[in-house]
Amino acid sequence: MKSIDFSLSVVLAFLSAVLFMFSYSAEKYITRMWNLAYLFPAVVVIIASAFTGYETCLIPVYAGSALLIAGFVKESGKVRRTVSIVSGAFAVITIPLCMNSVTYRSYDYAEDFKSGMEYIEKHYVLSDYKNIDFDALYDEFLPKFEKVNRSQDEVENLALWTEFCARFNDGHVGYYHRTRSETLLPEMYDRYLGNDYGFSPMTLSDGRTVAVNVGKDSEAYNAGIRNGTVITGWDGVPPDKISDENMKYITFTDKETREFYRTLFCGGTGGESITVGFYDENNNEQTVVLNKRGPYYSGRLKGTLDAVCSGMKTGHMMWEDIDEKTSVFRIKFMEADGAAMHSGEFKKLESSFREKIIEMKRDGRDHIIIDLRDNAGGDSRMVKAMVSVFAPASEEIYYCSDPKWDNKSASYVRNPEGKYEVNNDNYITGKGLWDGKLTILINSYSASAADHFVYVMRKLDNVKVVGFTKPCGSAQGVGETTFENGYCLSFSGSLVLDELGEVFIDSDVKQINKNDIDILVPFDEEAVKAIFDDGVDYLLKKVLFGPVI
Amino acid sequence: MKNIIKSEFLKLRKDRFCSILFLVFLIVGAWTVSSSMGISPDGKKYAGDNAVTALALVPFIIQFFLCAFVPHACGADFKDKTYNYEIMSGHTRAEVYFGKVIAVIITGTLISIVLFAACIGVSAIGTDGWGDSVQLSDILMKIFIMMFCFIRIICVYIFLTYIIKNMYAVVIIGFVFSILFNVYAEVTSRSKYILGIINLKAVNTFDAWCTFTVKGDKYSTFDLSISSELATGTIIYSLIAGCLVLLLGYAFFRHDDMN
Repeated sequence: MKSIDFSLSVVLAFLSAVLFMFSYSAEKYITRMWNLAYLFPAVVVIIASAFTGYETCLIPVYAGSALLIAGFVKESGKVRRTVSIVSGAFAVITIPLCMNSVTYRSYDYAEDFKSGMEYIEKHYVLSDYKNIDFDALYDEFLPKFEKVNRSQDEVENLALWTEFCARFNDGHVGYYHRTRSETLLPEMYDRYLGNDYGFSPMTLSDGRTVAVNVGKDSEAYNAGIRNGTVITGWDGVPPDKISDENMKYITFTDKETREFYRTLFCGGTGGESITVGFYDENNNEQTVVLNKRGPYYSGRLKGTLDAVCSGMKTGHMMWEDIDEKTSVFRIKFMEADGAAMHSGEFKKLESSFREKIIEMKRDGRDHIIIDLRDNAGGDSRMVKAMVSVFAPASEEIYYCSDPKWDNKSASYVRNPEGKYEVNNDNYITGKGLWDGKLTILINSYSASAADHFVYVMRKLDNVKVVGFTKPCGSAQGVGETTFENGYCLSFSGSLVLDELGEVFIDSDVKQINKNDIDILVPFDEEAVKAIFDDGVDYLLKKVLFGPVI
Repeated sequence: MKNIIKSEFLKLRKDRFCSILFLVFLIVGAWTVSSSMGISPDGKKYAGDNAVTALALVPFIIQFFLCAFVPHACGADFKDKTYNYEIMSGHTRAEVYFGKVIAVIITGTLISIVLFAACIGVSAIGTDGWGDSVQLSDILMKIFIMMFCFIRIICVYIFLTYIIKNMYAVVIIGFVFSILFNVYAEVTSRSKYILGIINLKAVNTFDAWCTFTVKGDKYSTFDLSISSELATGTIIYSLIAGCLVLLLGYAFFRHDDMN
């Protein structure tokens, strides 16, 4: 847009000069069509402005092109020369005006916030359930967005929105760019998640905080801190009291999951250096001053999360035979092939399962592990298709309920007690293809349709859900609105109910995720050693070699 | 001028080309709308939902109607020298120009309203009532505001016809610009008022919300209300822009040698 503005100014100056020269010979031309030349700059400016939008700094260009119309109306040479000179002068002063103006082509982030707030307030289905105070959020965040209007800092805008979305404790409420999230999000986390001191702190299941992902070339390593070293102090406070300022950018739906990750996400807190207390290999308490290695804790954090949380590194919908008894099926997102998603018929999926199960039974395998870690969801039809494969033949498994919708008031119908009225119940009919052991691996990023799948599958007797934490706990239908700068605001826009007529899975103000887990694997010293020293998939190892199942 | 206006109305009423054009676009509009009608999750067809579809399709059809109708209505008199005879018979150029302009604007606007009404009427045939997804008053308000955009577009075509004096050339220019600016209007919403077609798109934009169920049903809700800022801006900018281009057209016509 800025190049178009610049070109427009140059073009207008050029046209003004041409029309100035033309004014001397215009009287010679009999045909009046030449008078249209004085309309041409206005047409160019209008078409260009239709493309780039109105800009205050371009007012001289708009005025100059409008002035030239006087040359069309009044055929006097004197008038034409005067307006040409004035228009040219206006065009020339526009360029330095644009270059020196702070508000030139500035984006109105505050306006986006206002329209986004209005939209989410109107369409978010869990406002009452989660007790969201939109007025308070508006009063708190609007001044911050107005500050971003002055700085025009896109990353700061993204951080503010991320902080805003985290207030909802809903994995479906998010702000992202359609095409640039992969570069913008890391930039945001780099800026706001603090400094790297050479390791990540994580809290074990017994309450102690240990160091993990220790960099072998770091001061921490040289001081004797290793993976599993107990950390006793962080800049003068116990590790569980580290400021959780950085947590405000992270969404958690469940308070236990929040506690699991708390020290990890706070591991960038500190200044140019921090004083860390720890127990050395002789169990003596030591302290060391660690200088920051760089202002980018986010990189180490990502590495730690990948090590703890990531699923198997195989392709989506791929089988892997782990040993003579067990096969793992990796599902990275709850969507199948394009034909199935279009038609809603999952024949190919079903037949691939049949073939695999026949092969497994022939080989004497009796255990399927479904790896749903980092599965951010997808389509509920895939949930139905998958559940029907594993549910006992002809058995009707309750899935969820759809509430009644009133088109006139554009809202869900509630009875006089305030409870949602149910429109229909959804059941899944089993096909009974598998009756052996079934384990589902999840993490806190297993969300949405993955949440649905876990919730329904737990009703089956032969299924165990295993993980370090519960799944995400965000299960409503997603809606979104888009902004002019390519960003989108997504949120829970369609309601799903459970068998009690309550909100399906999502946590309320108490932040207790209703989607539970069968086996919560302790994150202990053994896990730390396996994950960070031996580099193994600890959860999978625990399921295979027990004692878990 | 009153006599000129009356004679222009009579001419347009009797004009076979205009009548055929109107019928063709009426059939095209009605057929387009009826073939786009949908069914609600409860298995019924509601006129309100279909009217929203009509609201999205009909302005597009009307734009192409106007880019054929207006150049013909204004340009035919250049071809058969009617303007020359009117001026020679003692009418001032202002009377000739503004008489034609008033008649064409009124006729064009009325035909646009009839096309809208016909398409919405067709969409209501065989339905199970109006439904709850949209209010009739919102649709009528949208159509009313859109009329100002159409008036502005009519004024631009009038201006072009008087400048170029070749109705076929104006039809081609109008057709090309309609396509280009409609495509552009779909891509961005940066400048709402600067061009009539883009303003039309801004007026026609509404909040459409879909609620989904796990069973697979989809409920659509439409909020067709127009903000007072958009309504006022559209009316003001359309009237100002329309008057400006008409005055420019007159400024050119006033001293034109008519040959």
